[in-house]
Amino acid sequence: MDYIVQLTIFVLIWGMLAASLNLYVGYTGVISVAHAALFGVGAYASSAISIRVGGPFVISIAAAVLIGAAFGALLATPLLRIKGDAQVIVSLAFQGLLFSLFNNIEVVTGGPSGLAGIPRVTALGSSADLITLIVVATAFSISITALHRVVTSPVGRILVAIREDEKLALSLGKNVMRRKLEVSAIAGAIAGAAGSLYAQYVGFIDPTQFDLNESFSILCIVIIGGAGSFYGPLVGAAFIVLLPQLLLFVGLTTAHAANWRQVIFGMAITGLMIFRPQGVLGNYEFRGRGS
Amino acid sequence: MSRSSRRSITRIGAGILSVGVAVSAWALAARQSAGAITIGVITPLTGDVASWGAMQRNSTEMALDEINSGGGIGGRKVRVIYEDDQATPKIGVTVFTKLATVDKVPLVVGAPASGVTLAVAPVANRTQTVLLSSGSTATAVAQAGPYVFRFMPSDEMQSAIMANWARELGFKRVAVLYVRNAWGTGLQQAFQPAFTKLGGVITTSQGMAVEDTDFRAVLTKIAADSPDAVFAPLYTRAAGLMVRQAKELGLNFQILGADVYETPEFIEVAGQAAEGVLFTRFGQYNGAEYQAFAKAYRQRFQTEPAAYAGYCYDAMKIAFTALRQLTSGEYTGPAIREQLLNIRDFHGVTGLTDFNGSTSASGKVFDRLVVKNGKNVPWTAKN
Amino acid sequence: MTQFIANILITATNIALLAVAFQLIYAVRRAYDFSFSTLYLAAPYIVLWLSRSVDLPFWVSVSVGLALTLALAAIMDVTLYRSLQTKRAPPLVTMLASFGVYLIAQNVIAAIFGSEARTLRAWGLAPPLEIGGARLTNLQAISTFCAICGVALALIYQRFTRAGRLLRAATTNVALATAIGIPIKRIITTGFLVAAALVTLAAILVGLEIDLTPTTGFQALVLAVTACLIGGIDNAIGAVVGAVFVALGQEAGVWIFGAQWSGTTVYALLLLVLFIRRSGLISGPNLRYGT
Repeated sequence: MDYIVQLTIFVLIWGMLAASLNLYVGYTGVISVAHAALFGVGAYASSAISIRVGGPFVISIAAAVLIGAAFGALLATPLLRIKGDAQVIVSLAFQGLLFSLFNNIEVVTGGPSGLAGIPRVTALGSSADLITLIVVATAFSISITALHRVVTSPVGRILVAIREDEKLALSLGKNVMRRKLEVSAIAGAIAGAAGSLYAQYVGFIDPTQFDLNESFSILCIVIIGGAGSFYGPLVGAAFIVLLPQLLLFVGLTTAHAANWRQVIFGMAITGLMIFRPQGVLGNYEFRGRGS
Repeated sequence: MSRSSRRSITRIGAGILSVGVAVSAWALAARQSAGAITIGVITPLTGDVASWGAMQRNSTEMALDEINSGGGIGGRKVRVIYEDDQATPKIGVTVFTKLATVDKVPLVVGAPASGVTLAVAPVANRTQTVLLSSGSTATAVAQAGPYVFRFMPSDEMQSAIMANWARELGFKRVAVLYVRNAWGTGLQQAFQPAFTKLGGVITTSQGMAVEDTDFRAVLTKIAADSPDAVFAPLYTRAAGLMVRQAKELGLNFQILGADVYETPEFIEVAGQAAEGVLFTRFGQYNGAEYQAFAKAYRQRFQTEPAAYAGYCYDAMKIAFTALRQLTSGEYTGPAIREQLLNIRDFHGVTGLTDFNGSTSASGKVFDRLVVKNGKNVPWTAKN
Repeated sequence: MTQFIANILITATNIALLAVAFQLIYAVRRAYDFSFSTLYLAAPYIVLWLSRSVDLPFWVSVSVGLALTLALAAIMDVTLYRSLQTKRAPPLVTMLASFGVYLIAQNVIAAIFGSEARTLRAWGLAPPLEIGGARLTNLQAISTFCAICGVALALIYQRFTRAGRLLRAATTNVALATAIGIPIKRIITTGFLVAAALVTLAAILVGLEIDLTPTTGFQALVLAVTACLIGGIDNAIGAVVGAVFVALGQEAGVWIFGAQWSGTTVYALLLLVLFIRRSGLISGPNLRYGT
């Protein structure tokens, strides 16, 4: 039972991460591999508060949300000025930069040794896994509602239109930039919240948990679930969190079981890209090139 | 998406899911095979430090074969479930939780990475599953909770010994070149005050990322200060490369290594450049137990066992010792914990292990070694 | 001082080789293609297997290894990439599909060869050279020379050969190119094979100088990509210029700030360059894909 609760918590946390990245990728058309950095920023901000200052967990989450929003907007500023493929790399630089800051600014982050002993979410006098699950589920619902609002609002529709047509974006001018920044801040806030919840659940964070590999994982979730679709991120998160676990059960305890699991994972990703690139639930018809 | 394709996807998904569930159920049933005592092992089977995982698996298999061929414990065989933690805290937490709550093992051995141990500790304490760490040396592990045991000496101890040794050898100016992770940073942070307290001077302290393989720039920079020696807690492969590159750059300062230098990989990578490198290693390696272990390991796996292999082996033997004191049906986390705390003089391949009511064992000593003619030999003032 | 210059020269040429190889792959695929990493990983392991297990003399192993790697590249091109091309897959899909393939390759190799470092060297230390006060080894000198040749090859291919020059046309405007009668498939495959040869060269040189592990493919990619983006990914000269900047950034980072900041310096440099000049320092014709 504990195990299932834990898996659900992870699926929801990664669902939040994927949903917020989905906002970037699916709705503003920006490709980012910096999401783990935003995740980490939230986790560290929250932990700095919960370890040093203490207090109700809501405060730590709030700190993470604010800092996440700030960094989300900060990332968006250069990212939105660049076109196409280079976006990936600007986000890569941002990710790399933040990772080295996590690793080197020991006063705040504890450096490579990380921060241990992060207190758990406590409510109603208990810090059981179930309490965390309830809080995470609530946070997830709030995030999804917020995202839904954004996506169905006039702003959201404009964003979808822009995604389909660059020239329209140009003709709409400055206003668009502002809207995109707002959207990015929201995405950052959600990622930060996910970071805070994660830190308070696992109890120990270090820079390696927020590196480029993690960013890639989150991007995979969005693509697998279907960029631009609404429930896609959750499906993708379930897939990425649960598939290795399923494979764990089927696995033999041979020397190379772990390697074979990753092989299966790789085959799953490639297969999906070849046969169903819009992901499981996606409805975003990818435009081909040179058409 | 069209309705029919959505339906077929749902069907396929349901199909896969049910097959998955069926297979898992079968696998789980197979797992709870009659009568065996099951313990868990978490270790990096894949990833950058998979060689540690391989060592862990080898040693564990050796210990298992020994105990099972002797009839097991209380007439029951011992079984191990291995899980790959990829030296990543998040994954470690997931697999440990699975072992504790699904496989319901009372004891888990592992993990070498301190980061994983620290992340897993709260789960161990909460589920009352004993975590017997075969490797984590970070100082924080000692305070990780009542169910987290470790018997490898801490980084602080090793650094202090190295600092003493360096001063004994007359080195006044030492540079530190360390790997920026929990282990390397721990050693660096402990070495600096220890060395300066003895009157030494640290010329510079340079941290490298775990995956760095090119040391020429940092070596050139270190050489600019003309240090007498360089204390270099780096992981084996990096250490080997660094030592080799230093020689190729014509730099001749003395290299002072750490426990991982003792792995065969170091000499393989560094080649001739390894000559004369000094380092410390855990445990009493002269004992008969060690010789027997090393011989059997060499025969079976065609490679020298590193210190860590000895620790993995001892971890299993310590676990068996605790289990043997209990009767069937009593194999629970809290009971095993009690037994471990009572262990006073377990003599294994790593020397003496004495828990004496604490979760951190004492009794280990450090050896001083030098690489001579391509082999690790005990260091004496003569050589 | 001369040591400093020697270090930079060696590093810069090695990165330059990686960068031009990647730039060529990018020119062929118009996407961030992980085949770079897959080939970078496979090539030296194939040579390792040939020289250790099959016991062929070194030079024979290298030649046969190169041939086998090219064969592998051709197979990948004809199976995976042709099908992605026909589906008009957007760059992100290509990136993820190739990432899946890389995951598979990495784990298969780890399963077969183990995860420990292996070296291609059959000897020990390389004989030293001393040039004007700087110490290097003759291996490093040879390596630098080979890297320069490789870079020259890449430049010549894209500037002076028919296949190279048509590459741009063949990949950016497929409809028009087909109409003119350019043999697109052939040009793409040829370009890819040349790139594969360069990647093989780079990987073998690094395998000799340092060693092989299953994870180096990814790091090499990040380095190559960073160099290309600083210099401008549209053309090969940009890749070289970018490589010089990365090398300078790394060395300067170590000297001025300390070894742990060398990565940060490079990323900061990348962001700075992209901020000043969006398409990199040396940009080719202004390309907008998918317009």
